[in-house]
Amino acid sequence: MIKKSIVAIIIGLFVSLFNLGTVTAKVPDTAPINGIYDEARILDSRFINYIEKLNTQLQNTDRKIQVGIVTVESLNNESIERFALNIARKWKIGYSQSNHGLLFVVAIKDRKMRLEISDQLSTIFTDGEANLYLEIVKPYYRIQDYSNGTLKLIETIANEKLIPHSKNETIIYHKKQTSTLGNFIKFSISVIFISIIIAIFFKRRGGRGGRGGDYLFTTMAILDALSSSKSNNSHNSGRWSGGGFSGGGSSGSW
Amino acid sequence: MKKTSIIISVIVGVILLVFLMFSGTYNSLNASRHDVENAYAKIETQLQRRYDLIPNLVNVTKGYMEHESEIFTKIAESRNLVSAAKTQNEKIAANMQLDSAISRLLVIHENYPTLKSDVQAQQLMAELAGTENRIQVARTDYNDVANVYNKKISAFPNVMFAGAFGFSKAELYQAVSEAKTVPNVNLKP
Repeated sequence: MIKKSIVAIIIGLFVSLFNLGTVTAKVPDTAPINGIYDEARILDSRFINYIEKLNTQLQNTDRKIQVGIVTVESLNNESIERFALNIARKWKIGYSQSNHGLLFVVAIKDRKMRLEISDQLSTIFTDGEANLYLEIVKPYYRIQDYSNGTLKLIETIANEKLIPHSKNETIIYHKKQTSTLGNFIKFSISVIFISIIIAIFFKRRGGRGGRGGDYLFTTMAILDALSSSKSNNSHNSGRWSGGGFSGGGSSGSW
Repeated sequence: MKKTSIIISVIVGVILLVFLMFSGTYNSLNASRHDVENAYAKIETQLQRRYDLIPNLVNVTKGYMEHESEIFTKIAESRNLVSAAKTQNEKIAANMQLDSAISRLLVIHENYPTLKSDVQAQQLMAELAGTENRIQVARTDYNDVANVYNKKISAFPNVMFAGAFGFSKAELYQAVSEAKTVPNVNLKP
């Protein structure tokens, strides 16, 4: 009985240790606006500008991919796989519409790196390919040219895997833009129509001695609520709102 | 007459209250059980992915690793066990055995420089390493939701009728020490 209890306690401790979901290095729990956390201070302004431009460019493609970069001095004995997965999940890399997210993590003192790929993105960017791409940075990292190495890696991945080159995808994107415009027109007509009905209803009630003067206020409040919900939705689409990371990607060392 | 109707109303009210309480608890437990089943299905998907990858990988690497016939035999045996497993416990046991064999293969392949220069073999190794990591993550996620579910069914008052409604305890995965480390796959010798 005692033996069983001891075994249960050991298993319990092991499981709770195994399930620790905390990021041990001081990486923020939410994604920085530009998607870059450079604790190791190895990235120059050229790289940062490139990632900012790349994320803007990728947001406007049909694939809607988002890229995050994290550099740390040390992993503090945590595995890079668990470390990268925790950040990718906490940062919600990708967009809610696509769940296409990519995270590159490098730990300088541990000489370890990882490309973490979301489930959706892994349909066009496999673990095997990620492993091949990691070879690109090794010659740079060995001479401690971290910024250029990381730039070369992300540039190559972006050009070969992330930025769509086929005309079809651009056409799909433009079609979606048109349909968004169509939806907006439909939405505006519906709002005007509903407002007119409400206005007529309250005006009639007002004629019978009700509080008819409120109809304008009510209509304005509904319009305001509808328009704010619309603008909130469009604002959310630009945030870090993706997910669907399940440990896909590849790790390497140099 | 008035007294009778009050008594009937109270009885109906109590029955309704108990029904609402039971249905609320049942729905909550059912939702948790679905989470557990969903998490388990994700493990199964990754295990199937690994199962499908193995024949290609063995074909490509076998020629380079002639001295490792023992490990290939163990992989083949474990894979057969996986395919023959019927119950959930048999599947878990067979896959644990396969975990061990695959981990060993991923570690020892580093000792073969000629294999490391074969891009196709390395890509397959990277796919396998990626799948191993996905399996580990899926098992951890499963344990998380299974823990929540197990706590729910053992908490009062759920514990009183969880068994009667067929809510049995979900088994947890215990990590094999070898499977905890995801092997790195380096291309260049």
